[in-house]
Amino acid sequence: MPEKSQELQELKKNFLWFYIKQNKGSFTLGMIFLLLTNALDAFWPLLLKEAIDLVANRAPAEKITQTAIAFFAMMSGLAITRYGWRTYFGKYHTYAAEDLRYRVFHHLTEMGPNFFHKNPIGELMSLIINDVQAVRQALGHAVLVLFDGIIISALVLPIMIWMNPSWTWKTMILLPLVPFAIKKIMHLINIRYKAEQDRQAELSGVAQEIAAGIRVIKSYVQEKNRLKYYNQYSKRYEDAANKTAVVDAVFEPVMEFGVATGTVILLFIATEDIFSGAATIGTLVAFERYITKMIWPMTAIGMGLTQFQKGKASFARICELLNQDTDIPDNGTEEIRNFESLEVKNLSYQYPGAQTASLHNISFSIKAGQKVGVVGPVGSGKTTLLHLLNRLYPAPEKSILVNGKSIEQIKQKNLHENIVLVPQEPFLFSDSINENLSYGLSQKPEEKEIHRWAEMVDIRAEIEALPEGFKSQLGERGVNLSGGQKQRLTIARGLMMQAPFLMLDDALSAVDVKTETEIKRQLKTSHQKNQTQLIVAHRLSSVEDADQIIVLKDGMIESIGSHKDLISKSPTYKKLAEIQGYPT
Amino acid sequence: MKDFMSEDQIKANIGLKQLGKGLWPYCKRHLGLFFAAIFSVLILALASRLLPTLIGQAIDQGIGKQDYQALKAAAIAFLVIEVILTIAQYARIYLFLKLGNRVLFYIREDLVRHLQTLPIQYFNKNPIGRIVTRLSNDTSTLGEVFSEGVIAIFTEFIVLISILVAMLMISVKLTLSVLALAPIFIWISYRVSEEIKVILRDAKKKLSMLNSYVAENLNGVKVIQLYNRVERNRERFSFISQEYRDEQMKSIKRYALLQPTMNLFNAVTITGALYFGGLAGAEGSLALGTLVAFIMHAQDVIRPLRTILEKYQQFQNSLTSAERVFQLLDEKSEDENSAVETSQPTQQIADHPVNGEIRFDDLSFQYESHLPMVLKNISLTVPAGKSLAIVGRTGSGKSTLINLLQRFYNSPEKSLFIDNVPIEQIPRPILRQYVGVVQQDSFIFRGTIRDNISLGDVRITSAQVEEACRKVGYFDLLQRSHRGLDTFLEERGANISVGERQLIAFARILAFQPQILILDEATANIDSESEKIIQEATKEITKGRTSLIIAHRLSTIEDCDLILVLDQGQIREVGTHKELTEKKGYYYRYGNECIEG
Repeated sequence: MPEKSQELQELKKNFLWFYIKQNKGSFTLGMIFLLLTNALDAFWPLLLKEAIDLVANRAPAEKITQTAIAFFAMMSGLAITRYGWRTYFGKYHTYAAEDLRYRVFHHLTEMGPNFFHKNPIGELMSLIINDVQAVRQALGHAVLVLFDGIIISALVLPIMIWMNPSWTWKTMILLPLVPFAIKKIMHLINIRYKAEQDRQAELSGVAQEIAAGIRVIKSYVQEKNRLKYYNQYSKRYEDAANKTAVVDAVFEPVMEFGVATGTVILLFIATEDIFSGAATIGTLVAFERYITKMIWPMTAIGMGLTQFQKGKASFARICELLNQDTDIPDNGTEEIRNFESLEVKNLSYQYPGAQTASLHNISFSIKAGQKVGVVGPVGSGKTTLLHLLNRLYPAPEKSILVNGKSIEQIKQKNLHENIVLVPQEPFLFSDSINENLSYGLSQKPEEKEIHRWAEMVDIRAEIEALPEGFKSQLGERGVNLSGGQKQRLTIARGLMMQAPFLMLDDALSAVDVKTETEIKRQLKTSHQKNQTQLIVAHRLSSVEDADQIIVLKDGMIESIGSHKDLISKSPTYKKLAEIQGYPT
Repeated sequence: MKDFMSEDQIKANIGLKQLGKGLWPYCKRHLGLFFAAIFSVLILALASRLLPTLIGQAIDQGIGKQDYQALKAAAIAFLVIEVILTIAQYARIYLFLKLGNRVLFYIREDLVRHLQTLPIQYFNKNPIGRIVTRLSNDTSTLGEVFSEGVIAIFTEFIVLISILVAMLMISVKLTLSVLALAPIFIWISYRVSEEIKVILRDAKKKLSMLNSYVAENLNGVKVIQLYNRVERNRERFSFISQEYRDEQMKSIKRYALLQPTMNLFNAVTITGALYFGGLAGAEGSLALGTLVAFIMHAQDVIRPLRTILEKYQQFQNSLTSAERVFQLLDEKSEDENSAVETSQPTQQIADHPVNGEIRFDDLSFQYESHLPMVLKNISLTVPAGKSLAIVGRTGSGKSTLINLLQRFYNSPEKSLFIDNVPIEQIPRPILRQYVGVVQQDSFIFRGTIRDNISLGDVRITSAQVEEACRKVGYFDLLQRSHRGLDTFLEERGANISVGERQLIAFARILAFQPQILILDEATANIDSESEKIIQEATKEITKGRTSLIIAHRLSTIEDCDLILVLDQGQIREVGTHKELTEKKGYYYRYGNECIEG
């Protein structure tokens, strides 16, 4: 995807320019309407001046009527142009945000588990929600107010100078201070707000512990004590919030006062010009309105700059993410038709950042149709091995061969069509049970088919007992299943794929021996009887009849062989067999 | 995903009045602050109206009559009023925020106090995340409703009234003719803002849908990749994300309509003021300065009106949060839930230390009337100071026994006795001081080991904590790993092993010295070293106490005075290990299944 990555480069170089270009239609229209709005807005005090001077000079009624009509027309035009810029400008930044959001999501779904170990999901969520929103603010509101401020200044200042140059510089002299003040205040607000949020998070933590530890609290009659403890943090949060309030409250008054000083100065300096007849009352009133108008651009510039900086920081964070390439790139070009063999040659794997390797020199091979077991104590590397075989982790080149082809050269989609892994932790999605069971299938299977597989893992009756049966929603707002039920569903989900090669990562530990035997019996008799299987298990009953059993210990293969072989050959296996009551 | 986030869809049933009723008691605690804030609003409104009047005066008196002094005085007055205005404005914002923060503190305090009195069922039914949301997000939103809703609307309402009064004082006729069309515009704006309210609510729903979709995909990214769902899920994400975008666009368009509507209204008012005022001025019935002042007043009408409409809608959307907070406060507490009056503690229990005899008298129990019985006709006496091992498969009713003994659930009247006193007659706090429980996976709070043992209770001295640690053998373990009692434990004890967590729970029990002990033995894998320490510690904590142990280890069971085999809520066998083994009944046959896992 060369053109795609070039696009990405452009985005990283200058996101503002990138998105303006991407939405040039709406951006341009928005800007044109904004310009028109500001122009109309800049000129209406002039009409006001006209009107007042007309009144002051006791002009005839029709003159006043004419001016009033002109005035009304101008204000109505303003309403239309305002609608225009809001709509078009809004479109530009809303669409841009959607684009960025998709890019982040796209990138995240490319990453392997190693990435997610390093980056807590909470932080990634914040990236896709808060940071994208901050970028949108920068693209939208910040750019808008900056342009607005500049346009208004560019229109209003010349008018003011044209009306009265001396009044202009005298009333405007302090104005450039406003952006600085606003920037300073906003900076302070941001810092204090951040501190406030930290305190709030802390307090939430305390609340969370009260809810989670309620049994201990009640058992030990600690309610009052905990409340006192909670109140300490609650007070800290309140203090932090009050500190924000101190600066928060400054914002509006500062803007107001900025206008006021201008008006006061005007009142003092305008007197003589009016007495001498050099200026009219209309000019005075109009000029006062212009001073009022100038305060916003100054505020806008301060505000816009701060907001843009914040958005830029957010974009930098997003870039940091986009710059991290996945460790399991889908660059393969090869495809396999039917699974024939899996060969593992001298496979070693060390997690990034880990001190020692998790797997050392693993070698074995599996032929189509074989049933293979993997056993070993906790931490011996079973799950790591399975993840490597499914290319969730990058194995060293040419250490894993499927049908003689190195795993990294096989298209991932094709690989997953041939090998299906049922992971250890039963993860289901908040969707219906039907949807969850057929999750991996590209075509929706018949209801009957789903029931058959559910039957096989001995969960059909339990599902049908639910009020909505197979249509029941799972997840936080749906039905709650037990760990064992979830595990059985994930097994069914894996079985339904009917892949040539099935791997179960300790998934059978959640079903009882009877169900397990039943599943194994069904698998043997179904048309899937030639399915190659790799089963990681703690219970030896799950693997005892396997063609070969791999015993892992401390990341190494201790022994490979049949149940009978291993009892005499492998001390680890022998110990397991003893504990589980096998004759040894 | 159809009824996703159904919580957000609930329409609030409370209005301004109930909200005020709910908040007023808290405000009342700080009347000074409350009235100072209100006072600043009045000053603000008054000062804002004086400014245009002053400009009018300056034009009429100063410029019109060529009175230089009058003009100068007006300028100085203007400055003074501006300063007052600025201060009032600052005071208003700050004081109300401060008041709001104080009110929130009290509300949070009440919430946590009340939460801790709720029955355990409440915590079983509500996920922790939801409870925390009530305490943090919903109270924050309530705070926003207070400061940005109630307060802002109140302020702008006062400002609006002051403007109308100022205009009416200049000319009733002029005011009426200028504002003749106001109702139409207000009505249109109201309609538009009603639409905005709905759109915003929809957008929020879409956003939370988007958020949970992302969260789910990140949490389940492995499955998505393994089951070739990446492409499809990206498409789905794109779809949801675009739906959200479109909802945002809808709100942008409506907002874009709202502002110009107000602009148009502004246009009508000012044009009206110019036209009618201008005519009157030309006739000479209205002084020019007064006309200018009138126009300035008229221009100010828009802002408060718009703010009121906008805030009112935002406020509607946040009311659900407020409602949920008040609902939590209305949840029935443990005491309110039990039928039996507990306010009068039995003298015997309250005054004397208990011996610790436990007696079950034909105890049957079901959690809810439509659910099956979990305990059936249990009759048994555990003499004071003796230990009882309870053995049974999952679902046999073991944990229910614990729940009843601590009165987390109410046992039927007169079916459970401690020292011959029916348990329902012992107030919960007293009962729980007597009956200590060690859960399977004991909860560890963030904080030091010391605080986790004493739970921050001032009655537990440092010496007691140390003594407890020594007795359970925890001290040695700490010393060997070069740590002390002030070692910081992370959330849920993530930085220590399961075995160590157990030891802390044991030490906790020893520090608090309950007369009756209930121990739910951990089934989790513990390394062999801790295993040995825990075995010793178990002996230590049961010494001299009536102990009920839900046992999983053979060694523990053997050490107990009595063994109770529970099956489907019924007592199958009671006896010593030797007796039961010889009997070759349930214990002999099924014992193995329950032990070691």
